[in-house]
Amino acid sequence: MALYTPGRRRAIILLLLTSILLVTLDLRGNAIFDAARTGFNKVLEPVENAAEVVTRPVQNAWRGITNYEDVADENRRLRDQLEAQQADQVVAEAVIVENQELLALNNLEALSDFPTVVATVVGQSPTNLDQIIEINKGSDDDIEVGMAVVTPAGLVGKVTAPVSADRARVMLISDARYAVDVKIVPAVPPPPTTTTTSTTIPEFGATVAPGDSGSVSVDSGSSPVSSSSSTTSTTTTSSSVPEDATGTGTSAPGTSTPADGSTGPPDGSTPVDGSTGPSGSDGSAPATTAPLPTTTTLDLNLVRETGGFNGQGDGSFPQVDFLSQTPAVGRFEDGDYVFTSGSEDSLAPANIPIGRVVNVVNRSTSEGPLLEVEPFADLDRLYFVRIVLYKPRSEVPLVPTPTTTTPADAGAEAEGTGG
Amino acid sequence: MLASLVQGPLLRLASVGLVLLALQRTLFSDLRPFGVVVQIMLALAAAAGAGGGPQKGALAGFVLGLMFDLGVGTPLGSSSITMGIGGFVAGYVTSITIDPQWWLAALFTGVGAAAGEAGVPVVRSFIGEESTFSTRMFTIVPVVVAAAMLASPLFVPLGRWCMRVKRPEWKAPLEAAEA
Repeated sequence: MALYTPGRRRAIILLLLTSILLVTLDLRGNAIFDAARTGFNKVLEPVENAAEVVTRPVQNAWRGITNYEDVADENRRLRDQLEAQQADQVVAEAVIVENQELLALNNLEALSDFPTVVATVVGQSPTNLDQIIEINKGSDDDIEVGMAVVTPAGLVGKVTAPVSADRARVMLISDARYAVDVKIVPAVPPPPTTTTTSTTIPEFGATVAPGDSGSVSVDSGSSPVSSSSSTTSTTTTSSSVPEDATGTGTSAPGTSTPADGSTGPPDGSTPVDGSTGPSGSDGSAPATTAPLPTTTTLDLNLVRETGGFNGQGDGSFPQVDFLSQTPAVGRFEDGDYVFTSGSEDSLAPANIPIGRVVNVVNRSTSEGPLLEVEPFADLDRLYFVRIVLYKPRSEVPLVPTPTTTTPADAGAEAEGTGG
Repeated sequence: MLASLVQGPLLRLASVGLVLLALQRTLFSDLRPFGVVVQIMLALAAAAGAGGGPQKGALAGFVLGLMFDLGVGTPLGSSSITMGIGGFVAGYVTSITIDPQWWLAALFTGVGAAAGEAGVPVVRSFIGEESTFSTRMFTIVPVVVAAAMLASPLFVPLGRWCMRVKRPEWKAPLEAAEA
């Protein structure tokens, strides 16, 4: 009997083609396959529970053999760390409360605005490529595909399909398929700079040369004025400080947010086009210099460059790519923080900490720099996670505003249509 | 049709595969030598190939891969391809000998498991996933192969039973004729 005949070869080719067809259909999205997965998992669940019970002693023995030293070391290290952090916690909690109050005062969105669900990690990925964990909460707890999953340390991933009634899978941020919009925040903001502003006020009737009109000389201390042109990209914004942060009651240029929400000159320098102060536009009088009060402004100069965060698989740091080409790119340094940007389509709300930049790869100008990020959360030791029940604004269905029509309006409309 | 289903290998393979998949998702997801998940479904597919030939190995790999994809959530059909390759390769290399010794069957099972595991990043790349190739594969493949070889004394007879490979089929032709 031949082991390998043309008929058998055809059967093998048929199996291969069937597999390819299944892959193609599944990747395009197929409700039948989703239903099959759900049904299969229901069948598998009792077998899996039995296997869990039967193999638990083996698992415990394995953990005892392989992890004992690590656990003992970690226990000692965590005790030291806990003592060190107890004092910091009090300060941090006060700052968080203050931050939330400020956000609420300004009607800004905060992470604490969204309801969350706490879940226990009950399983890990059985493959060597996927970075996925399984949690014990599902659609019964309003969990949906795409929702962000966090721990107290920061973002750990997102909910991925399939989601059953009491189980869900979480794709970790280290998975090669994971992507989210992020922003980079410098770890150490520049120290507060003393800004001495003196305005040349032309006297009535003086003649001022073109380009000299209403000129404002700015001494920005250590921050060169030339840096003001470096943050004019659309993707780069400057953090703003409320007016009264200056303590003078006057708006510090570039450090306050206009009422329309647009940001001013991002570096905190005074615009040199003479738009502030008495402009002397008539330019007809000799100028005298009247020094204004010296104010110390909180020019945090926090450049928030947005990029795309992508997992790189197990054993590799996730990376941030697609950073826009602006002169501000040079600011990236090891230790910078990475937060979710919370853009319109982003599945994660803004300002969830993700990690710290551990390596900046400078590439060609067209490619832009590449940042390697070490996640704050320990993705290898996840026991409890929190699912943020957040839907991006682009996916929240718009509720039509009910229009109230008064009888008079109705009559007028009727007349209009009739006329 | 029902009779052929009962008498065919699918029912046995599905029931054994269900138990192995449960073990894969529980015990072997946690028990990770060198940080690598041991692939027992792939090991069974390769062992079925080593015990029953390339066609039976490919069929076992296809069925077990489908179950794996359904249970784990990977793209349906992707593991069918890799496990099918694993079973086929194990069966193909087995064809150089007749009724191999246990250690030779273990070697063939290892070869099939290596082919199947090495095919995972290739298939995933075709599907469109990025960063599937990494130096970690040099750790993953040997560990998966070693585990498959260790399991083969159990899995080769199990694979033969699942695929209903009768003893005369894997005897030498001369002995079969004498019988």
